[in-house]
Amino acid sequence: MPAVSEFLRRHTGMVHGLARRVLRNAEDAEDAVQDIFLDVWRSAHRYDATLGSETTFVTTIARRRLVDRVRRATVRPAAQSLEDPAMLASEEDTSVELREAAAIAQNALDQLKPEQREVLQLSLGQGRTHEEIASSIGIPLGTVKSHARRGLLRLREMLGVKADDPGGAR
Amino acid sequence: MNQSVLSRRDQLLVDGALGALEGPDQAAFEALLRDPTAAAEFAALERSAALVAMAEFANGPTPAPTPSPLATRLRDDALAFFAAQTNSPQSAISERPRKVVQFLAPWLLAALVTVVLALWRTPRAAQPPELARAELLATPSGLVRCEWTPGPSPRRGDVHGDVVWSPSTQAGFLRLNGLPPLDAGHCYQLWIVDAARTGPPVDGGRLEPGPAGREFVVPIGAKLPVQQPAAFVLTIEAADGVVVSAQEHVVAVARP
Repeated sequence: MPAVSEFLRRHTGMVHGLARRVLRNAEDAEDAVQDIFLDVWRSAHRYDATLGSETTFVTTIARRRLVDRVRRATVRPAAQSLEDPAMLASEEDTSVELREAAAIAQNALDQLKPEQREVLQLSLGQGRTHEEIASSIGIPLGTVKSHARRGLLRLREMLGVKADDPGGAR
Repeated sequence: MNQSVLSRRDQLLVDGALGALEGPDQAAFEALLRDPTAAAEFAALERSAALVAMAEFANGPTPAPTPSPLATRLRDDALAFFAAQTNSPQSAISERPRKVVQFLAPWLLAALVTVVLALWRTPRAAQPPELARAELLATPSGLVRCEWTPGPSPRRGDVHGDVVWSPSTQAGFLRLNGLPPLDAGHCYQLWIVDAARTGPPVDGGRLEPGPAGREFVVPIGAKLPVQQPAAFVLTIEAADGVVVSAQEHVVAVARP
């Protein structure tokens, strides 16, 4: 299979899925996916396999672009239920690399305090804002922020994610 | 980072990675990223956050399939992006220092080659010559490329541009700017001097002068195989072209 098609096949499902969860609007999500892949092509020279996998590289760019979009958006639909049929409709496969990286991350997540894990899963996995998380699980906003911050720092430590050369991050 | 009390700096970096910055914190965060060490730490936090997102995605409900029109747009975007990269002599890829090129992901290089091959297989009639030229320039090796120099004809104008020719595929393109307009009774015609061939130069096809003041690209239409191109010669001929040129009006020459 041609490399571009193969690359897109490996990553589009995840990028599109993240965009749907974070932006909660099909049209916005598709626009975002296009922007994200253009950014991936433009940023490709920064890819350093010693710092993370190809999937991590793509996902990092995707999250960054999605965060930018959410910040710019004046209106954001309410969080969707993951039981939405539109989000359960296919058997689109996930790559071996994604599954392996996910297993490692999941193992680290499992070692977090339950409240930290829950907040990070809702925030990073489902694109919920801290306010939405506070409201949905009934804890103060400040506590949500604290769990999220501590949880991410602990995760980075457990996953051994190292910093790249100063200046090469963005 | 201090694990007991998070500094303002650490809070900003983590909140940035979480996408949880608010109001004035955003400006403070952006200012903080000017510090290379902070930027590198932030990048590591971003990757950590990405790993969580990946885990949640892989372990969550199966996503909806990518809409077919979106998949098509993504592929087209990629084709256009790589075509633009290969088309421009000032392209970011070609200009980057070796250190950065070494970090190019294998998939990027594979993608580039694939785009070129994909474009190559596209029927010529459906392809803009600029794009076709870009794909030719991206072929690994063996290309002949040379710049136009003015010919002796007083009607030469101020021609500039170049010629790209692939001996292996017997295809090539002229990139031209500054050809003077012609009256209806004349045309421009390309000739290819083949060092491996005796006899008159090979007819490379007729062409219009193109839009005034704008660069244009035209494919070479060699009527015979060309083994060792020694020169590309642009002449003014009668409107229907000629089989053999007297080369009375040579407006430009490109020599490999």
